[in-house]
Amino acid sequence: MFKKAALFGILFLVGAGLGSYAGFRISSSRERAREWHSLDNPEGHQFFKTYDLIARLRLANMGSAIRLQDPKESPERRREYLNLTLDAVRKGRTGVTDPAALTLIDVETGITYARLATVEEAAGNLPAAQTWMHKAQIILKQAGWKDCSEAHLKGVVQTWNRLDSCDAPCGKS
Amino acid sequence: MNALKLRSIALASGLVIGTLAGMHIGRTMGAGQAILWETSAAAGYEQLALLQYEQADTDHSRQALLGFTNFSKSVDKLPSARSDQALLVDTGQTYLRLAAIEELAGNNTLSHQYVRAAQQSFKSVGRDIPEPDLDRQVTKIVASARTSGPPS
Repeated sequence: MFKKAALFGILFLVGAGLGSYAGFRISSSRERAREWHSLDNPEGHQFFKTYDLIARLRLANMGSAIRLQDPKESPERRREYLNLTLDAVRKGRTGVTDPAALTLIDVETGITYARLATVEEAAGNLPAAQTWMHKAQIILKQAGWKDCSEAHLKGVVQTWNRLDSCDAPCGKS
Repeated sequence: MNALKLRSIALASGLVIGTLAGMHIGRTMGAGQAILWETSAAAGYEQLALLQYEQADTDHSRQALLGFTNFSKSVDKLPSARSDQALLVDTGQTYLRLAAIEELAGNNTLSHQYVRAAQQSFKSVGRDIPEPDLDRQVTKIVASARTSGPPS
């Protein structure tokens, strides 16, 4: 009797597990499709590419800022997170055509370069720090920034690190 | 035969209950994920646009702020943005900054149009702010831009 009940229970759990997985996939993809169909035209699809990339960058940004603000984090971990942002830009930028959004993506890239410069400087890698800072200055200049001096960019990065790490849910401890 | 029937019942009832539970969890989590994505995208775009407004020249500032107002119009159509009133308030404030940029540039008619657009944004979240009050806010933005190095 016990054996039968156990077998029944196991089979029920297997069924429940498979069912939950299938149900979850169906339902969550339906939610995604509901969003997608609310702007079901070529401009809407174009908007979704920008929307997706900006959301991804925002989340990557908050993750980087928390690591940059945490004195216990190693330079490797900080580089790793900043490279996630650059990776997201590399993969997502080609799908974006709106000039205003492209400029903002460049600004985000510039800020990430400047953040990498501060990480390398803190790690004592001065040539690498200078290279990143130079890249940041070039891209931000193109984005119309009035002051691209090293001191100013470092100030902006410090402010952004503080703001982004405060915005992140796990940063509010 | 009986044992096989019992096993089938166990598996089938598990599948049915599991699917229903999974669909419920998926719907809740999917909606939560969509809201997280919406707030991240809107806040991310606004933050970058504001940074451009503070740091860049007038043309780039204008482009960034207009980009945000267009972006927020599209975001507003998404089901996940239905309860995001902050987006409309932020859009209203962005229109006020645009009004200030145009006032500084001497484009008074356009500046006035942006004040009206800001008023509409605030109205859509139930805040009916009279135009003279919004004009005063624009004047404050203009004054602070003049003293702290405006978008040139």
